[in-house]
Amino acid sequence: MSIRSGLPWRTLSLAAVALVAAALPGSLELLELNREAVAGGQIWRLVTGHLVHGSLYHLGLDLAAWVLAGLLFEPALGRRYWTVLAIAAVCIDAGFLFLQPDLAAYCGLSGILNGIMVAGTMALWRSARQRGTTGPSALYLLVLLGILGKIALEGIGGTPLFSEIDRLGAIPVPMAHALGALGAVLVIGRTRLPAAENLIIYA
Amino acid sequence: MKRNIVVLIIGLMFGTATMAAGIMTPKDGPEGSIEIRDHDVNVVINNGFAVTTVDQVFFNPTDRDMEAVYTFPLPKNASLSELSLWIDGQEILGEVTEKEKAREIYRKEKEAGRNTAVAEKRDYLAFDVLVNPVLAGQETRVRLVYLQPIEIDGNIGRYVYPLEEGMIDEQVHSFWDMKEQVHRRFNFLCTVRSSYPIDSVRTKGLDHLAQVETESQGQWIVSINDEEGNAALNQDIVVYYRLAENTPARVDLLPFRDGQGPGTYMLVITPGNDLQPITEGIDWTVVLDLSGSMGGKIGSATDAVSRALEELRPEDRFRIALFSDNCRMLERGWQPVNKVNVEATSAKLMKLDVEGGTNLYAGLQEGLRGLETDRTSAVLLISDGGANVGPSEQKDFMELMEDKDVRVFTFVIGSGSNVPLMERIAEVSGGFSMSVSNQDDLYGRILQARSKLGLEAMHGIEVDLAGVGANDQSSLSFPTIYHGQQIVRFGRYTKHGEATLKLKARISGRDVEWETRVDFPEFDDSFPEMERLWAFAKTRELKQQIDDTGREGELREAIVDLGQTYSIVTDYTSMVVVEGQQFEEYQIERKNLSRVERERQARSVRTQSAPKPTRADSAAPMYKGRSSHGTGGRRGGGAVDFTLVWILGGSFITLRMLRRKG
Repeated sequence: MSIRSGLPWRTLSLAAVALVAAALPGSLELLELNREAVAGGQIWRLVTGHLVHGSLYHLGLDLAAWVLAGLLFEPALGRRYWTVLAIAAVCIDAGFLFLQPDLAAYCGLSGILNGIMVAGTMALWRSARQRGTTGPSALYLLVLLGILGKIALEGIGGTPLFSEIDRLGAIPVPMAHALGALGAVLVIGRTRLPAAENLIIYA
Repeated sequence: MKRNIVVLIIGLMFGTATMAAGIMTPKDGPEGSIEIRDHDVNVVINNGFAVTTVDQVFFNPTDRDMEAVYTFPLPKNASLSELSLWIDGQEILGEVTEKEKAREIYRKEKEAGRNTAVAEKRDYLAFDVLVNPVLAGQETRVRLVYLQPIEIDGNIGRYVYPLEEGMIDEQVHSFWDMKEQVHRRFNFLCTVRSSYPIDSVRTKGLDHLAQVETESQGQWIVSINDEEGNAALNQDIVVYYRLAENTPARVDLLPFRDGQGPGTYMLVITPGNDLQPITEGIDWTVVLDLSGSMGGKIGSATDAVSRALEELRPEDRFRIALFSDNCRMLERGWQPVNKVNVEATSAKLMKLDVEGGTNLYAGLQEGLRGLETDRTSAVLLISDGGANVGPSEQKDFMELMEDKDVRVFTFVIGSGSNVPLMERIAEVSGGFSMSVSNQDDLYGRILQARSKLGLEAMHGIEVDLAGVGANDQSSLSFPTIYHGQQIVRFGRYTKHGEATLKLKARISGRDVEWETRVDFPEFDDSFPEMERLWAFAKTRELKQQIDDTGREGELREAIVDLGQTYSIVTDYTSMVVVEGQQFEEYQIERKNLSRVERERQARSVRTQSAPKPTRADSAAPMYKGRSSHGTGGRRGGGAVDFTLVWILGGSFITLRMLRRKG
C-alpha cells in the first residue's frame, strides 16, 4: 500500500453538487426521492435524491463524513467508485420504494456513503490479505466488522446511533445504510482484487 | 392491565388539568352522587362511517332517588340517533322533538315521578344526557348511539372517542363536579371494516393498554378492557388505521334506497397523485393561543411550533402572534428562516406562560395584518378554546376574513374548541382544519399540514352528477382539497341507473376535470344510516348559514324539520324518552323506532359478511394509479452521526501521521 498526497476528485465533485443543490431555493422538493413524483415519471429523483438534504445540519454532517470517507476510501476503489455508488443507490432506491411505504420521500448522502465505506474497507482488507500482511489485514477486518456492526445496531435501534434526529429535517432511515452496504458487497464481492500497488490513501 | 390503567389515571392526575366525560354533580348538592358502574363502547367503522354505541349502567349508592346528568364531549360531525332507557327490563327508545318541548316533557315526567330521559346538544361542546330517576340503591341502564363520517387523510383513517373536555364552559364547571370514574367495568371495542385491505391499526397513546387483532385484511379489532373498576373517562381514545399502500385512487358510493321515494348516497372521491411540489417561499404566521385553558398543553404546543419552524425552508419567513385577553407579536416583523432566528424564537417560545381568556378575534386580526401581496401567505391558528373575549360571533370572523387573500389553517386542540368556527375560518380562506386530540402529536399534525402546503392544492371543487336526478347535495369536505384529502358529498337521487360523475377543480390556475360513470341502484338497503348522515350534513350547512349571518329565520325551522324527520339531535332538537304510553300523550310519532329497527337489521346483516365493496368507478376508473398514501410529510433521510465523523477524521489524521513517519 502506498500513500500519496492529492485530492479525491470524484468525492469532491459530488460534494460540490450537494452544496450547489443546497443553495438553490426549493431544490429539496424538486430533487428529493419523492415516491409520488417518481411514480409520476420524475425518475431523475432516483439519482438526485441522494444529493439533497433535509436541513443544513443534515447536509453538514453528511458532507463531513462524505469527504473524509472519500479521502480514505476513494483511491482503494478506483474506477469501481462509480459502480459502487450506482449499485448502492439502486439498492437504496428499491428499498425505499418497496420496503418503506410509510415514507413519502427520502434524501441524503449517507446511504451511499455507507456503501463507499464498506466497499473501501473490503477492498483494503482483501488487498492486505492478498499481500499476506497480517497486521493491516486484521485491522481492516476489524474496521469492516465495526462498520457492519454499527449498521446492524442502527437497524435494531431504529435510528442512526447518536444522531440528533430533530435537527435533520428527515426521519432517519437505518435501512438506507444497510442497503448501501449491500450494494457495496454486491460490487466488491463480485470483482477481482485490485493490484496492491494501486491501493493508495490520500493523506 | 389493572396496573397499566392505574398508572394511566395517576399520569393524568398529574398531567393536564382537563375535565372529562362523566356524571355531573352539583358542587353544593347533598352528599353522595350517582356512579357510573359500567361503560361499554362498541364502535363499528364501516367503509367510511362509524356507528358508536355506548351502553352505560348508572348506580345510585344513596338512600334517596336521584337524577343522573351525564355529559360527554361532542364527537366531530356526530349525529346522535339513539337514546334508550331500560324500564322494567325493557328498552324504551327515545324520539326527537324540538329542544324546548323535549325539556318541558322531561320536566313534567320527572315531576310526575315517571321514568324519563333526555339527550340534548350543548352548543358545540357536549351532549348532555339527563336520566330520572335512578332509584336509591338501584341501577339504571342507558344506551346512546351516534353516527359520524370518518376522516381518511393520506389513506389513514382516524376515529376519536372523545372523553377529554377542554374546561372551556366555565359556567358549567363553576356549578358542577365531574365524576369520571367507572366503578365496575370499562370496555372499548372498535371493529374497523374496510373493503380495501388495511395495513395496520393502532391506538395513539394507548398502545400499551389496547389489544389489536386482525380478523382479515379488511377487518381489524381494537379492544381495551378493565374489569377492576380502575378506568376513568378522562382520556380520548384515538384509533388510526392505514389502508394498504397500493390502495387505488377511487370513487366510493354508499347508497340507500328502499324502493320508496328518493334514494340517499354518500359519495367519497379519493384523488390520485396529481399535485406537484410548490417551490416559492411562503410567509408563515403562527397565531398561538395563550389563554388559561392552554395550561396543560402549552409546553407541547410551543415545542411543536419550535420544531415546525426548523422545518421551514430558507426562502420562507415567519412570525408568531400570541393571544389571550389581547394579542401581541413575539417579535417585530417578519423573521427570515435561519438558524439564529429559529433558535432565538424557540427560546422565547419556551418561556411563555398562559393566563386570561381567549380573544380569538384579536389573534386572527393580528395574523391577517401586514401581509405582503407579492408573497404567498399562510396563517396557522392554534387554539383549544372558544372565543370568550372580544368579538366572538361567527359573523364577526366572517367579516374579518372578507377580501383577505390568505389561507388560514386551524389546529383545534381537544374537545373544548369552537370546532364549527375554526372550521369555517379555514374553509372560507381556502385552508383546512385539523382536529388534534391531546393523544395526538401536535408536531406531527403541523408537519402533516406543512407537507400538504408544499404541494399544489385543488381549488373550487365542483362535483356534478348527471342522469339520476341528483339533488340536495351537501358537503362535509372543504371547497379546497389538499394532498391526501378526500372529497365527501351527501345527496339524494330520484332515478336509478348510470350517472355521469364529473369532478372539476383548479390547480395552479389551470382548470382540470375528471369524469367517470357511477351506477345508482334501484334498491339497496345495506346502509340505511345514509339518510341520517345526509340529514346531519344538511343541518350542519344550515347552522353554518345561521352562524355566518347571525340570523336564524326560516333556517331554524328547516333544521327542526330535518331533525324530527330523520330523528337526529341538533342545536334545535333533542331526543326524549318517556314511558311507552306517554309518547301518545305528548303526540310524539314513533318515527325513530321504525328507523332504528331498520338500521339494527342492516348492521346485523353487515356483521355476518365481509365488508361490502363500495368502489363505484371500477369499470371506468376516474384516476389512474394509486391514491396519495401517507401524510405526504414523512421524509426519510440517510443520516450519519458525529461519532462516525470523529472516527473517520481520526483515521485520516492517524494515516497522515504514519505518512510523515515514513
